[in-house]
Amino acid sequence: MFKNKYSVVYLMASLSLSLISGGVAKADGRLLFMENCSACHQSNAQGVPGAFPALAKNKLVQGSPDILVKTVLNGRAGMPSFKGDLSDNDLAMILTYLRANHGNHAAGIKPDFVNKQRKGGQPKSQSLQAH
Amino acid sequence: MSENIYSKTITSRRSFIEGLAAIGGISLALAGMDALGLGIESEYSTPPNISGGNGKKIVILGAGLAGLTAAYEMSKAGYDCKVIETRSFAGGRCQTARKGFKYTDLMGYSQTCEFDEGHYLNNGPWRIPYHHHSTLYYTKKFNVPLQLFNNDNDNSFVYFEGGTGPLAGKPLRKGKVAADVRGYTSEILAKASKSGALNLPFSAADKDRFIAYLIGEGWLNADTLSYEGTNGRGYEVDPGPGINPGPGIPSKPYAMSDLLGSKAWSVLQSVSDYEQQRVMFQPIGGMDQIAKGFVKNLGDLIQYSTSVKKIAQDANGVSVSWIDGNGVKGVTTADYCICTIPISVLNGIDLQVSPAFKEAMLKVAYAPVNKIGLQMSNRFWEDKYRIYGGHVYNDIPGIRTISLPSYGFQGEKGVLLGYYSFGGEAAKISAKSPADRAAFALEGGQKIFPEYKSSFENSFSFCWHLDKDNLGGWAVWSEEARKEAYPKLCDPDGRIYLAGEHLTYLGGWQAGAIESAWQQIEKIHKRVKA
Repeated sequence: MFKNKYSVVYLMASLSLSLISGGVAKADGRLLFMENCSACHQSNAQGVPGAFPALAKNKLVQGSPDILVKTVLNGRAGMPSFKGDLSDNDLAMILTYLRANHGNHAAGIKPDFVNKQRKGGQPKSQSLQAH
Repeated sequence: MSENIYSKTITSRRSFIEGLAAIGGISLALAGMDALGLGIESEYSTPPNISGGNGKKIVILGAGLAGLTAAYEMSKAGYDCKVIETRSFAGGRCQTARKGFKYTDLMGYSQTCEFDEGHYLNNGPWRIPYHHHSTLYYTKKFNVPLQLFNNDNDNSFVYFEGGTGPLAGKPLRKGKVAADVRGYTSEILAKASKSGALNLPFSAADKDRFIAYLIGEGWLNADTLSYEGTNGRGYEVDPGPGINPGPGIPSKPYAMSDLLGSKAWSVLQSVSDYEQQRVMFQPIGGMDQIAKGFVKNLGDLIQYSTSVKKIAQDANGVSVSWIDGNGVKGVTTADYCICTIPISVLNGIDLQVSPAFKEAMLKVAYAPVNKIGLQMSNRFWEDKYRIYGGHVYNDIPGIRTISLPSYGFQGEKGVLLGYYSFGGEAAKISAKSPADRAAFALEGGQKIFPEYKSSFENSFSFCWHLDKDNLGGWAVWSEEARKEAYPKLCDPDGRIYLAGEHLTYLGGWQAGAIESAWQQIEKIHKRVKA
């Protein structure tokens, strides 16, 4: 029974890998964006004025990849760190999707690149615990 | 430093504490006093003793616990206070959803709470550790009746899917896990000590005492030093009258390797975390009773449904521009401003402070935090599983904690907390509609209680990051921001003083809001009196 469970996980992992290499990343990136980001930044990436910045036609989103990746990993202004919540693959897919959509035009980001930014960042802040 | 604490060269406790105060300020000195067990009341267990405000004008932004505290103490001391509150009620995060409570979040989802009369969900703070003197100071002062909040229940379940072996993915009683893991651990230590396999750092007499301790701690067989189970983990058949059930049938311990594989041990700790005490309180009828206690004793100082648009200052005073619920604009002027607006929200308000202060404000993040109350048609957790309050800790992403109510025991229905999650997991679930959030919560709970889905009646969910007046559950400081930005924000900028949980090391707790207000009003008072 446990063997079966693992083989399903393995199958899913290899599927998502083939999606990246097969260039179908857009669909997956969109889904991951909707799941992880849209509550605050909205599904159309327009944000909420005064609360959450629009990611559409956004300078930071289209700008230097290392600053962009570090922003999501470590947080910025009101946004908390997502270091513990997003894998290298998922974050690369989300940012690649964002940089190619919603009026943004910039090159994609690879999981390896995310992984490099992850190292040497500040440790996860401690306040994400129960009260 | 730490060497000194345990060193015998300290000539007196007093000089040691004075030394700490010199190095680390009063807070370090207070921590030192606690460490020495002097039992001295913390400086912040009562409000500052101030009087003679002589009608100096104070404008207070926000009627959460920080703002309410400032208004209550300063008006009592003779200051002329006015509170501006964006919501139609006081309390801020100290709020309670019960029948008729309406809420629309930034996604545009509107909910009206449909819980039966007498049932509620504390959307924000929901428990008060016994050592939060400041919160308990006001509950006592305002006669807010409290009841115990069960923060640790051995008979509750723990549920971990991520482990391996026969116990993974099964609801296990926390007490059974604790008895067995600690029993086996004690057995291993006791046997190894006895046989001399351990190089123990104490005398032979101490070794005997150590083994005696392990026998008691782990309920070991005193002769064999083996753990064979204990009645504290419960029975297969409970003891009772006569011959049958008579003495009952003892339960058998799980195997240590199965327990280790299950990961259920991850909920075990020698004592609770400082903030997660076993003895906690909740106001009877909902946390908002504390806010109501303030309001009753405050007089008519709060202007509700009024949003702050601009906060300006010059050498002589402060002026706050606002717009009320009817679209009427106005300006309130004062000598000083106490601003308790969460920094996440304050960043979007026209605020006249120095560039360095503004830059520091951008360094604090706010936690996405979700809660959901699920009304159940019956209290299956009590009737069937004998769980009276407490938490079901689990590793289901987005759920993590299911909590059973510490009120209404043995009643017909109950509202339980279906999830309590933070960070990215919370952001994810909050993107769903309220109906889908409930469906998600039910899927999770169903894994632990087969009665979950069939007992469900209605839900009310709250996402603090999607509340326009908070934009997050509580402040999150990185180590770097705590070092550089935090001290700047604890100091006033001109005549503007920030206060709230975000400016304390009691972040996210009501005690933080109260004590931050105490500290800032004392600073203003000193300045006025200088």
